[in-house]
Amino acid sequence: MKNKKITINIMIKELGYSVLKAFGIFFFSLLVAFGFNHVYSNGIPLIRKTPFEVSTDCPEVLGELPEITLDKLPRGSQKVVYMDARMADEFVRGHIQGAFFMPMYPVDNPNLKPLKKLEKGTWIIVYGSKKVQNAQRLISLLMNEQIRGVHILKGGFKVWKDSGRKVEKHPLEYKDLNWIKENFADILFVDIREPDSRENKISESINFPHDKLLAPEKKVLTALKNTSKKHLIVVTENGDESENIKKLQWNAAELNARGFDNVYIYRGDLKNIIELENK
Amino acid sequence: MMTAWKTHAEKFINLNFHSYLGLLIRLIIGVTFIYAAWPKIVNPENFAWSISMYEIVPYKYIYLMAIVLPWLEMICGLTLIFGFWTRASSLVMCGMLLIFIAALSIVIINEVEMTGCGCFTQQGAQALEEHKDTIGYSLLVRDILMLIGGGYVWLFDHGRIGVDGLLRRYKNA
Repeated sequence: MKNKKITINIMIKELGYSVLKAFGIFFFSLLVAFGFNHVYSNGIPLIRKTPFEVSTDCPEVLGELPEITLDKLPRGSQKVVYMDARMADEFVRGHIQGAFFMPMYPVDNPNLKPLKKLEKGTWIIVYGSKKVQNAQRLISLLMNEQIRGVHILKGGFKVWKDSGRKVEKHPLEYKDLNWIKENFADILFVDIREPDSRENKISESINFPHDKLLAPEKKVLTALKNTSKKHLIVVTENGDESENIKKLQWNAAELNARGFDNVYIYRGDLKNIIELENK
Repeated sequence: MMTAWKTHAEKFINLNFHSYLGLLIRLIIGVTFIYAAWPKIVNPENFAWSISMYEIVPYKYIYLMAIVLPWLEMICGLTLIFGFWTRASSLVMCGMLLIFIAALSIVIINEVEMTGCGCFTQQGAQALEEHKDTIGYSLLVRDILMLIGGGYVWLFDHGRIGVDGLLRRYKNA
């Protein structure tokens, strides 16, 4: 069928009508957009009440942190890293798969170097325990460092775990004297006693005193990293006393969370190992 | 003289070629708009972050824009592809493109640091300080090319190929 010829007048008329129809499209889009936003689970309020924190440097001044809920976490191809702000013992018991261990010690600040290596446009999701206080301190620190794209996971690790999402664990392992005897040549002992209480010590040992308030010393961590020994055994005097067990677990967790996956605990008395060495 | 000009112009606007070129442009722009609209519709909060990076719209109205704009893109994209109210949808699209071009120009002139325009993904708004970059001219060129295409469709595509054409034929039958 032949098309009707279009004259200049018809064209001008059509162009004029198109302006009216354009308003029609606009209002129809408004209707659809508001309707969809109303029923959609990820819908947002029509008016935002607080400014975006993209160009501010201190959230504490604003009194509001950029929180993100579990259902709004980026998915699929989007680059996202998780920062675990909890302490080592919580981290090893379970953490989000691939999360950075970035504990907020009561005294020390965390090492922010891993963040500098992140790719463009990476989402940084910080989480803590249920009360998320550590995460709040970490996110304040990151924002003060002018690092952008950071969010705090509302409800912390608990909501992640409760939702049934993947959790990575580093269970602590215990070794007995027989195992130590068999593998003695491959073991570096990590002595957690205070330096002044180390009268008797194992020759192949490194001192790693316990202090919950501070991050471990860098030079000790470097020495542990550079060792040629296959296994690290955390030891102390009277390792079977409840208070000492806690310290052993704490130190082993600290090392485990920092990527030493060959860390074990000896719950017996240090004297036994010294005797073994002397034999 | 005037009549000769009119005759030539009418001959030109009645060329069948316009319908085919118009269809090609409509398909390219329509698909681009739908592709751009979908992630924004799915995640309006992130798109709002992207808009905020432009530092143009007051923060109070950013959410409103983040809700409406993607649907306008989606509906215009669909109407362009199917050739329904072709001229009107190309006009709305040109309006949107003019807004995008103005926003990008302001960003370039003011050297606002961003990692992306937020047109297709919202990752641009989420970035580390040291990775920030200024928006390049290529994005501006892309939008200007689409604007020219949209303008062409508005003027010369009479909607012969598409729903408009079918409706017209049904009406005239």
